Order: sequence, then structure tokens, then C-alpha cells
Amino acid sequence: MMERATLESFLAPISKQLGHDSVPQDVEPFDYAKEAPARRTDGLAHARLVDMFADEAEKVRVGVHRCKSADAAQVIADIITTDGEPGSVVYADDHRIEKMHVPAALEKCSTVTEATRWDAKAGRDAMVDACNVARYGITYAQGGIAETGTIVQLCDESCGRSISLLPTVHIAIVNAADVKATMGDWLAELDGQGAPHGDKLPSQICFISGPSATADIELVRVEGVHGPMAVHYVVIEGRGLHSLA
Amino acid sequence: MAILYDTEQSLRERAAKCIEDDFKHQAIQTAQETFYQKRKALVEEEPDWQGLRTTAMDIRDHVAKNLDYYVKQFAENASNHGVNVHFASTGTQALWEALDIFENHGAFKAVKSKSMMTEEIGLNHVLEEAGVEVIETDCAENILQTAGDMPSHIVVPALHHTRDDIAELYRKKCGYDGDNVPEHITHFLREMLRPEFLSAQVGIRGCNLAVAETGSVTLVTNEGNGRMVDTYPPVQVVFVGIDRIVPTLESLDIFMALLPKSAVGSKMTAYFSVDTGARRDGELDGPAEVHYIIMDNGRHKLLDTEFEPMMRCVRCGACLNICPVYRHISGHGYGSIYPGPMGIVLTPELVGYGDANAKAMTFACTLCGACSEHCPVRIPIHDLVRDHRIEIVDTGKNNKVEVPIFKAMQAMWSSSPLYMALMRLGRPVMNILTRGGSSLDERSAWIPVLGSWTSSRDFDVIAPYRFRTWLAEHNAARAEECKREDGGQDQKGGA
Amino acid sequence: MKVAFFPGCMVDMFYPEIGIAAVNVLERLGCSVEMPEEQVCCGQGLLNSGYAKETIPVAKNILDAYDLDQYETIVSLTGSCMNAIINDYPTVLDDVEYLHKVERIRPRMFEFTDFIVNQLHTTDVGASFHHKVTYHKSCHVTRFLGIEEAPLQLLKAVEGLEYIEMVHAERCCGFGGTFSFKEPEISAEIVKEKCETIIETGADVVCGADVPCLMNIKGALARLRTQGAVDRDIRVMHIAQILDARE
Repeated sequence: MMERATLESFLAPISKQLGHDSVPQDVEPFDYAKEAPARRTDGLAHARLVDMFADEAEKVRVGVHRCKSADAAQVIADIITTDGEPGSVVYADDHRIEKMHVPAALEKCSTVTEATRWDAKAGRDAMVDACNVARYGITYAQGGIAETGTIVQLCDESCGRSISLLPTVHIAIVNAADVKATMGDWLAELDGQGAPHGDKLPSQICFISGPSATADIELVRVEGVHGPMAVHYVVIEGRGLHSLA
Repeated sequence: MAILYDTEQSLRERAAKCIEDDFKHQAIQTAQETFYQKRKALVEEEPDWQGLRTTAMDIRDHVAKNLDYYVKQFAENASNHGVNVHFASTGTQALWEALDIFENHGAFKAVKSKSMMTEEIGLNHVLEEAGVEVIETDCAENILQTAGDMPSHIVVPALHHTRDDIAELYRKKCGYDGDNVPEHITHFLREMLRPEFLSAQVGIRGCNLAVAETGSVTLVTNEGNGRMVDTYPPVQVVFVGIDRIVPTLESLDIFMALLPKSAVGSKMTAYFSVDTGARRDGELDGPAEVHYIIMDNGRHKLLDTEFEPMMRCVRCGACLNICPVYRHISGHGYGSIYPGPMGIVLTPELVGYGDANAKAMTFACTLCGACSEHCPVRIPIHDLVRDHRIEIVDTGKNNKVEVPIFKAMQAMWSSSPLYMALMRLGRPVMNILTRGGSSLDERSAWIPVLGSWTSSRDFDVIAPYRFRTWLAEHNAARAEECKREDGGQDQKGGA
Repeated sequence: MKVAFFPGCMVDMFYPEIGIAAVNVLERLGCSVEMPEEQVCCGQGLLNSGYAKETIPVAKNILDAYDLDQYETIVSLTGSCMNAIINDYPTVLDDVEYLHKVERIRPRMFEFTDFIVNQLHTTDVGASFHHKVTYHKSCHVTRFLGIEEAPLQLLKAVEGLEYIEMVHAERCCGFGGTFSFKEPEISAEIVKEKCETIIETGADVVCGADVPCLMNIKGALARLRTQGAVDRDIRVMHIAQILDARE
């Protein structure tokens, strides 16, 4: 029988190679501030960051729709109508989506066959199945990243991973006010929220930048591999709506 | 050990085959050109690319210097989030840990997202022997798995297959009935693999960067297969190399500013996920049970040696994308799952110089330094390649036939009189060989050593006179002239 | 100005005409050129093959050859050899005295084109060369020594010279010292591609500032010419020869 490695037996050769008698109790932390490299977003006013976010997203073939909160429901209905393909919708269990009257707008949408709100109590099979057959998944992203046109999608009880993953089209609502310059700015915020030791972090933070894609066959870019084939950001200008938390 | 997958042929034989394979040869060159142009444009746009590289290097070096501390911190924080942490000092231990997990769950089907660590230990083969069906879900990896083939690149491993090949492959093996359009083939894979994701019992994945402070693991993908693997199978097994660790969440920003640009010339990949623990109460998707297999497999031996900078490697493939040798021989030329410049450094560290192929790899490099210049974490790759060569000689693993040649060079190059004497001797010999011409042409391909050069290029022979002799005469003549001029002036002055 | 010359052993052995051209140019610019008889080769061929211990006596011979009390300036005609001396020697030498010599040599050693442009502050050396010229940006001059502008400034100031940049001018020519003997098939492919990019420019002359690359490119172009793969003669020259030309 093979001998199992334990934390101690695993670390021993590493410590030995490093010339440590034992694993150090503490280490001087890495000083990120000491040599922070300049970034493209440095010194940009927030309005410019939002513009950059939209531009970068469009470069990775995201449909970007900037609107007021009051118009969001109609914008989403228009995205679905323009897409034209009839199908069902699953949307996150987020009060802001209700507050924007998205469900009502979906109901009026002739191509929407069914709209389902994510329901943690409905059970895994029901929800995963709903997403698997859905054409559209709607989430409310935590925020955006200007540098790369990325959205920060937290996955949790009210917003399952499946909504942004299985449907053919992912529509993410994001507050312009929640656009930050870099991924680092978001990570610092999430780190603060999750501290210490990430105890309060969600099980998954997903940074999404456009539709799933590949270039594995002769380097030809194909969109729509295992995740969504198309992604839209509905960017809420002005103050936007904030989560209860 | 599955790092070196071709033990039958020599590197020269494999390289020759790759050079002959026109499609593969062209495909690699096109890929290099595409990645080169895309990366270049993004790097030029970045105000402080060099600063990003330096910070990334410093972060990695900081972790390497304190690796025992950070591995412990990572493992403890992961445990605190309910992750089952397994340790594997060797590849065999990692395989045992994985088999154990499968056995405990009676699992017979796994979906897998691309992971170099699992290739390094030959996981698929072992699991299949144990009756587990393992499905590679990355498009390229699925093509290779279906074809029973080996990767030619670490990031785009099926580069060497044509669309016709691939269409035919899926027609034969998976019932595909479409044409050779990449989009159609890819969408066929989407349809084919989705039920597998939803029904597999175990998800197997690697980890691009592991965060010590939070015990989180991350995954960088474009296709979304990584997300599928870490969303549906109830049990998730994550392979984490000890060289994947960064201190805090904040570090991820620096690495993600470098990695996608360096790898494929994209500003960001479609997905970058940070996973911390299993799904929480009330959450419907995500794994219910997470296992980390933290693997060393010989990496600790790099610490505190000249090869330690290799611990910085993020496996982006930037060095492959710029390498003039890789360009012509592809990953298959090297015969290692870690090919190209990074592979030349890493492979012998993991398998030792005892293996003839690992040793030969270190000479498949012109030491041009393009890799080091492009490396996002500033690994002096070409210096480390040379360090391998030095260590091979120092440990007596060199080819003994070449020793007298190099000893002779040493003698000739460290003594000017000996050098001049040999030059006087060499000249008539060269005259005979060139039949009085100024260079050796293809007719001299029979000459040992020199012939390997003259089989493809002419070789200029020793000149009829030495430059040093000319300069000495030239300076003597000048001095003489000066003296005459000075003398002339003196006379004038005197008159 | 008195300068000590370091031509690199390939100039001494194979291409004395390159050395002569460089001396002519330097003399025209007011330098007197001297070369210590004892210097032979930098030894990078040994070092790059892994023979570090064998490199030491070769390195010491070079370091002993140049009397640093006598020479304020050393001009190197080959980038790769200069790189070996200033950047590689410290990694193999074990002896403080010689490490100290490297430190003394480093600030006074200059690559030929860099010396003319940045020490003599000259770009127009009075040459004329009515030809289409392309320049191979060798790894050692460009990447390792970081000299990018100087050779191009010099070429562009030559009367009648039409400069055409080749695609991927900074890509390795495939020589790599013993690499070209150990992996000749790969080396041949790399230099073949380099030649193709040279041919594509339509230039009649390819030049460079690193002698080993020029030897490799020259040999490959000659072979392509014999095989009929090129329909014109393309001359391979060291940049010093162009700067010394009147044609």
C-alpha cells in the first residue's frame, strides 16, 4: 500500500530545500503598493471608465445597451425581440430585476415562451433543467471592469451559476456606478468583504468577458462553445439600483 | 511518468518529421504570427508592461522563497472552507489520491477541463484502467483524446489537425454528419458534451492560480468547459501544483493583466473564475464536495537553485509562440508534454538528465533569448537552458565523443601562439577540401561534424591571411609614415 | 583617440576584410586602432555548449590580453562576443581578480555601431553605397546589448543607400553556435526562412553587426543560389564594410 503524504511530510522537503528548520510562522507580506505598475485606466474620470467598459465589451462582441433604470425592462425586451428566436427565460432571484419590472416586460414579449425566476427552493434539477432549455438567462452583475469590458458575476443562492452558463443568450444588468477601473479594484473590494481568509466569499466569483469562444480548429474563432453564444450588457446609467445587502 | 511521451524516436528524427509535415509546419507558423501580432498590439497599448512583468516576477519569487509557508496557508484555508485537501509529493501519490476519491464514490464517469498537471502524471490512462470514463471537454483536448494523439502546443494543443481531419474524426467516431466548417464542428461538440457535463459524477480540473490567503482556486478558460466542469458534477477534484500559488486575491489582477495577452493575444479570456469551497447551503449548482490534490512531483528541487525562476511560470505559452525552433518542430518535435523553451527548462528538472530525450531537448535551442524577452514573469529562460547544458557537462552526462573537440577548442582559444600555429596548418587542409575555392559546398557533406552544416549551407574556409597580421603590418606602416612626416616637419622646422 | 580593437575570432580567421573595413572607418573618424596580439576568442562556443570550466582559461586569456591601464576604450566588431565578455563571463568566472577585470571592461567596451553613434557622435561617416540594403537585427546586438537605433542611423546616413526592413528582422538566424552542428536540420529551416525574408525585400545586400549570423546567412544564401532558389546574387556584408564603401 502506498504511503500517504501528510501536510508535514509534504512540507518537509520544501522547507529543507529552502533551508528552513521548520515552516515559518509568519512571513512579511508582499507589498503591492510599493511597485504598482501604471495602468491604462489611471487618472480616468468615472464617466470615461464607463465608456471604456462599453468599448472593451464591444470589442469582445458583447452587445452593450446603456440606459436609465426605468428603461431597462424595455431594453431587455427589445434585446429578446431583436434576437427573434422564441424561447424561455430564467432570471436571477434579485429584487432589482423585479423593481425594474423586467418580469412584466418579459410577459409581454411575444417570443418569450416562459419566464422563470431562480428559486433555491425549487431544487437543483428543476432549476438546472430550466436553464438548460432556456434561450435567455438574466443576471444582475456585481459590477464591471473598464480595462477589459468584463463583468463580475457572483454566483450564490439567489443567482445560480447555471443562469450565466447554460442559456444560449446571457443578458447581464450592471450598474454604471459599479464599473471599476481594473480587476484589482474589484478583487480588493471582494477581499475586504470576504476577509479574513475569504470566509465570506461566495463559492464562485466569475469574471465574464463576452460569449464562450474557441479558436481550437485552425485558429478560426467560433462563438458559442459550452457557455452562451451571445452576451449582452444592460448598463444602467445614473445611480442604478443597489442590492439589499 | 507521462511527461515524455515518445521514447522511441530521437529528437532529430521527430524534428525531421515535423519539418516534413507541411500542414503542421504551416499551422504552427501561422499560429505564431497570429499570436505575435495580437500580443504586440496589446503590449504596446499597455502603459507599463515591463512594470507588470516585474511585479509578477516579484510576487512569484516572494512565494517561492516562502513556499512552505504559503502551501500551508493555502491548504489550511482551503480546509477551513470545507475542501478535502490531499497532498501528493509524487505523481504516483497523486494518482492514488485520485483513484481513492473515485472509489469512495463508486464514480465511473468524469468530465475534465484541460490540466497540465493531470497530463504530467498520466491521470486519464490510470483512471481508464480503473474503469472510469474520462471525457476531455476542451475542444482541442477532445480532438486529441478522440484521435488518440498528443498535444503540439500547451495552449492550443490540436493546432496540427486540419478541419478536414477533425470533421472526419468525429464522423467516424462520434456520428457527426456535418461539413468541415469549424463553427459546425464546434457546435456539434457543444451538443455532444452538454449531457456529459450534466451527468458526470466527478469534475476534474486544474488550477491556474491558487490563492493562499483564501484557499481559492482559479480557472482561466474561453470555451466555458471549465465552468461546466466546476458547476455540475457533484464531486470536484482540483489538481494544484505547488508552483501555482499566489499570496492574495489582489495578486490575481497582475497575473490576469499578463496571462491572456501573453497566451493568445487577448485582453481577457471569456471566463476567469475564482472558486472558494463547495456550494453553500441553499445554492443549487456548483459541486457539493471539493477535493484539492496539491502536487509537488519534483518541483521543490528547483527552489534555491539557479532554476528557481522556473517556479514563476504561468504556462501561457508565450515562449513557444516566439521560439524560432518551436516554429519548425512543433510540440511533437520535443516529445514532451512541456515543449518549447519552457519545456526545455522544466522537462529535465522533472525527469532528470538520465533520459536521453530530456538531455537532447536542452540542445534544441539557439539561445536567441526571444523567449526570455517575451516571458510575462521574466524567467531568463535561455539562461536556464544553458545552465542545463552546463549541469549536463558538470555531472558527466555529456556525450564523451565531443569532449576532445571542446578540450582542443579550449587550448586553441586560450593561447594565441597555438592558435596561430593551427591556423597555419588549417589553411592548406581547407585548400584541399575546397579544391582551391573559398567555401565548402554540398560535396563536403561527408566530413564529420562540418558536414552537418555543409549539407544545407556553404561554409567559408579560413582566409589566406589573419586580420591580426594585417593590422600589425598596417600599424607598423602607419607608424613609419608618421615618423617620416614628423621627420619631414622637423626638417622644415629646422630650415 | 586610441582604441583597442576586439574583432572576434571569426573576423581574424575567416573575414579579415571586415576587420580592415572597420579599421578604415575608425581611422577616418580619427581613431587609431590597436589590437593586443594575445587575444583570441571569447569562448562563448564552449560556454553555450555547457563547457563552463573549459571557458574559464579562454575568458582569462581575453581579460589578460587587454591592458586596461592602457586602453580607455575597446571597440567590438561582433555583438555576441562582446555580450559573452560583459554579460556571460561573470557567471562562469570564480576568481575575484578576473571578475573585477570584467567590471572594469564593461563601461569601456562598445559595440562598433554604438561606438560611432553614441561615443563619436557621428552618423554620417562619409560612405556612399548605391544599393538596396536590408539589415539583420541579430539577437545579441539587438536583444542582449539593446542596440537598435545606432546601426539603422548609420545606414540611413549613407549616401545612395536605400534601406528596406525585412519582416521579423529581429528573429534569430538559426546559427546558435554549436546548435547549427547539433541540430543542423532545424538550424537549416530557420536560416532558410531568414533568407526568404531577405529575398522578399528585393535588397541586393544584407548586412548585420554580428559576424556569426552573417556567416550562417551567407552560407545559406550561397546554397540557395546554387540550387536556383534565388535568381540574383545577394551580397552579405558586415555593416562596417558598407560604412567603408564608396560605390
